[in-house]
Amino acid sequence: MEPATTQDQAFGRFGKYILIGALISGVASGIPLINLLNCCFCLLNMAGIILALSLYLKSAPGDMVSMGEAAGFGAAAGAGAGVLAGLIGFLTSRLVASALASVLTNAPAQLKSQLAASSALGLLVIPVNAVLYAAFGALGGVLGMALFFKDRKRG
Amino acid sequence: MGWTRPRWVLAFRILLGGTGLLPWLMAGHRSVLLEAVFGSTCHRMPERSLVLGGVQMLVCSRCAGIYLGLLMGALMPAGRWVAQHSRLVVAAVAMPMLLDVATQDLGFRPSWHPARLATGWLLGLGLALVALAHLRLWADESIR
Repeated sequence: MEPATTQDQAFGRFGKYILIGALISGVASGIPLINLLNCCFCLLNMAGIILALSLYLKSAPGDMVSMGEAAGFGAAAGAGAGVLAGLIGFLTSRLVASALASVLTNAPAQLKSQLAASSALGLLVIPVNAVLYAAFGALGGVLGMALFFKDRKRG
Repeated sequence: MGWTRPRWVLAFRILLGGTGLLPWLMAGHRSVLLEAVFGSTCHRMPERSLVLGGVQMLVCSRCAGIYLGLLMGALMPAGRWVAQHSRLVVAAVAMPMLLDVATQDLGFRPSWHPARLATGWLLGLGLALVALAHLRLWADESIR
């Protein structure tokens, strides 16, 4: 059994496009209301990754991508998107919590501590979000390659 | 030394299967953290979610079906035929769910958990099998 090929190991060539995929998916998934589209099979996450993959394929017309690379591309971009979406969610909840705290100056201490706890929870969400988004991202990368870019598949 | 391709496929199976298992493993248990995580990928409407052991599941019944399908797909062998007919398989597994969504959301019938579960399961299973069939072909190339 051979280890991964040299081209498989040249994974760094995807770097910029993995970041683009993470940015598109993460920002879209972090914006309230727009992120409801993720209810449809993590659509925003998968679409962002497929879009980034198509941008890479357009930028490198002679390059072929293996299924393993597509899965890795999707997983990495998905993990990045999960972190970004989690961060945006955290910042949004912090903003909401501070706005509520300033409005409810006479609110009971228990409510104030609950608001603080809910925004702190946002930080714990980030690593779990990254794993969940990485799984759907890997699936999106392979499915995107198999369904839309079959002619650019290596092997 | 780099990982062999079959190992990467196994890692993919574990990631996919673990993700599919989580909502079912947590059925009947409350987790504020996981509710927040899964809340970003599912509407979690109470009337469209299953309640097990007195606790609403982390995801709605359709997503619960999808996750179960992903878990089962991750555990199953995926044949060459599936890879060769990817588009056909994806269309076949997506159609029942699209019909279910359309007839339910256009108000032709009320939301029905068994239909949501079954059509979600079919979609999750089909997509996992298509992805794994392609990855398996990729892994087999290195063995030949």
